[in-house]
Amino acid sequence: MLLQGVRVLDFGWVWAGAVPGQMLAFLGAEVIKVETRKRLDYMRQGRAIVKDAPDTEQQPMFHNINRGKLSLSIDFTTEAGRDLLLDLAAHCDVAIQNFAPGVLDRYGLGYEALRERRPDLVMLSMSGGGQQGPLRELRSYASTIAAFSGLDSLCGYPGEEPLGVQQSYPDPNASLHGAVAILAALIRRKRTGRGDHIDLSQLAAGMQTSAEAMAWLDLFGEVPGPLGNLPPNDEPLHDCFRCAGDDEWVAVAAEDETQLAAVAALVGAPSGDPGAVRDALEAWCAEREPRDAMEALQAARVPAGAATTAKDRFEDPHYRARGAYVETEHPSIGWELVYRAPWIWPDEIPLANDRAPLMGEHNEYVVCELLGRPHEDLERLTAEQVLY
Amino acid sequence: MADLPGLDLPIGGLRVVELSERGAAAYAGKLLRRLGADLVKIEPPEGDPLRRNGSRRHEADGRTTTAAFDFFNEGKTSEVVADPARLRELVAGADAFVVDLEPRRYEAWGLEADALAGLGCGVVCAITPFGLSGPYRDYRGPEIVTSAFGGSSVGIGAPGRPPLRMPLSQTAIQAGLVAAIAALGSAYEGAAYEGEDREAAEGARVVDIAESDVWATVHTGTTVVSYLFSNRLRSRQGRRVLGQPYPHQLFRCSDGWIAIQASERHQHQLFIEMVGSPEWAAERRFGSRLDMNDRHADEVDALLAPWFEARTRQQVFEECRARNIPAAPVRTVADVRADADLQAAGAFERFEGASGVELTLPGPPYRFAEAELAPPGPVPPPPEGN
Repeated sequence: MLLQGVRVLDFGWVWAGAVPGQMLAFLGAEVIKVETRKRLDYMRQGRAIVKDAPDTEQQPMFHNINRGKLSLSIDFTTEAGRDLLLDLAAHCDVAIQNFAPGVLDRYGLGYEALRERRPDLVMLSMSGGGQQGPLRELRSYASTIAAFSGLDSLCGYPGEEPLGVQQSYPDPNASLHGAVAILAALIRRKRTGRGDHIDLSQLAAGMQTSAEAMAWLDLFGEVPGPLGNLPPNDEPLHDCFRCAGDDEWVAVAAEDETQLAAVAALVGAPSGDPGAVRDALEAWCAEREPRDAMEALQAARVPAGAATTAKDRFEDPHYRARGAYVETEHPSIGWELVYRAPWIWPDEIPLANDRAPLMGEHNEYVVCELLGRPHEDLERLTAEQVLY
Repeated sequence: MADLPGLDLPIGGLRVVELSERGAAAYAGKLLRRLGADLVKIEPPEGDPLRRNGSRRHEADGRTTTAAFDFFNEGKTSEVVADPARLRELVAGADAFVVDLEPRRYEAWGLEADALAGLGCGVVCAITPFGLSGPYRDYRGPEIVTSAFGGSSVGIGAPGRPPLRMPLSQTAIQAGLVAAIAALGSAYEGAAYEGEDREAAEGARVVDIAESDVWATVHTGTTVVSYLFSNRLRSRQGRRVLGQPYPHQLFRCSDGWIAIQASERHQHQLFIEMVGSPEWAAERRFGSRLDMNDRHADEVDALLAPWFEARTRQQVFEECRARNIPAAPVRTVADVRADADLQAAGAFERFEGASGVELTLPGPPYRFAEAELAPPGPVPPPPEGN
């Protein structure tokens, strides 16, 4: 069912490159992450979380965004590594990569080379500015895409200078656009037998998030600055309010007069005077925990939501009831909690791996089972640090 | 095979029905239409509410639209539907039905949970603010609420001041993306080879997509393990992020701001060289790049201020590019649209919005070497009488 039987050669790394493959894994595909100790995925680097010494198996980010995948550790800058990957490509339906343009071609693993071994391959290449044109050389992180796309200029308090979005939002945003494109190409392949090469620009994906503000240029002749918590139009109430506790907040919106009247009744203010309702709501929130305020307001049919931290989401009864985070056992950490797929599917989709893979955990599977090579090859390639 | 229509579009011939009141299904519909789907947008007689609310409204010559409505709905064909029975007719036999009502509005359309599963289409991507299950399932959730509850707002803003929501319609975009993935994943399974007849479906696969879950999983979900093991929580730090090596922030130049992220050790060294290898950079307390960021960033920023303020953001950007240090000027959307490189790359397209204004907005972020995308088109006018 779904993508079962679809195999993915996943060169995607860091954050943006890892998540398209994970979306396919969540839909049942077998995703083989291609990685190497020679140049570690940044997501495997950093402080270990339960040990003192650096440990490539102790990075929670990696465990989240690579859950569901298998791992082949291989140095593709070696000739033997390249040859093995070309052999593997013949067994794969999809390839994903987010290196700088030209890197895979330099090692003989670009789209043309892979397609020779798998003529109907669907490949996604996602770089900062696309594979062609003047922005091809752009080196980017999520933080620079946020600035370059215009999104950062919209984040901050109205009338002040921008603060920026200050989170890696452009990464998963680019990843999800990439997953959409791969699936569309897979459907075409199923119907026509033809593969494709998709060129995704992470900057262009980021510009989808600022496009609505570009429409302001045409519609209103205005260049928007920081929008803060301003309402979209003339909604009478639309802000975050401080609650009891240390830096605790709740977002509240009264989108029309009915909702404003409901807020007024709840907080004991005269209705019809938005300023008075706002003042009374501030005092009312200051005495309540964010979740209590949210529940009381929503019970009165007023949109409200606690501004959650990771701790709040971990403890939240709603996220718990929906299983937004799932328990897994990781060999290096033990019990941990990682996010589930961003949907609830009506029937369970089995994952090829219930957790993130250890580095090279599936070398034997790939070399001996998939490629049918003898065990001596596995040992030799390991000793030669090709499988590394 | 060659004379079948739509084969050069990746999903040409796929039938998708969209019913959107909150933006998310409309963004999914936009993605799917451009990839080739045969898309019908259903609107109630009073029109999609996003035509008036939820995004900044524009009125001209008696015609009304919003910025988000125009961006999400270009090129669509809309059909006015007042009768739930007609809705069921349109949905029956479709490959996918993407819908994003607030929970109580599902009933108004005769789309209670049981009804959804009996629609007789391939998949129903049912988008709601908080999901179809759980204690908050009936809660309302405009963008400011889902952004906060999903964990994004807590990191935007200055210390001690209110968290800020993700600007514009980011929840709609992200939930729309997830719905498009679910629709395509499901359609892949059922995709008929050319010449085969599609089997008439009896039930429907209902995928429950909560906007708050979309934030709390793929966007902010990675922070939960960090909290559990290291007690670290994200907080508002103005123009930087805690827990990252310095620099990972915005710097003020003579004419605006620039974002610089030199995460790798060699990038950090190149950054220090770029700013003139000052003596203080070798001081022991700055030995850890993480400490430099988390403990001393204000002090370091002050030391670097003269260097940055003596240069324009473009000059700093070029210095960074020459050293391969990831950086980008903080551009307004007007700067972005005026970018000659983006224009040369064909990044923008033109179409007429629902209030009659011609818009110039970014096109799809991907290109297919073999297949084509459907072109942009005018935004459908509001139903008669509105």
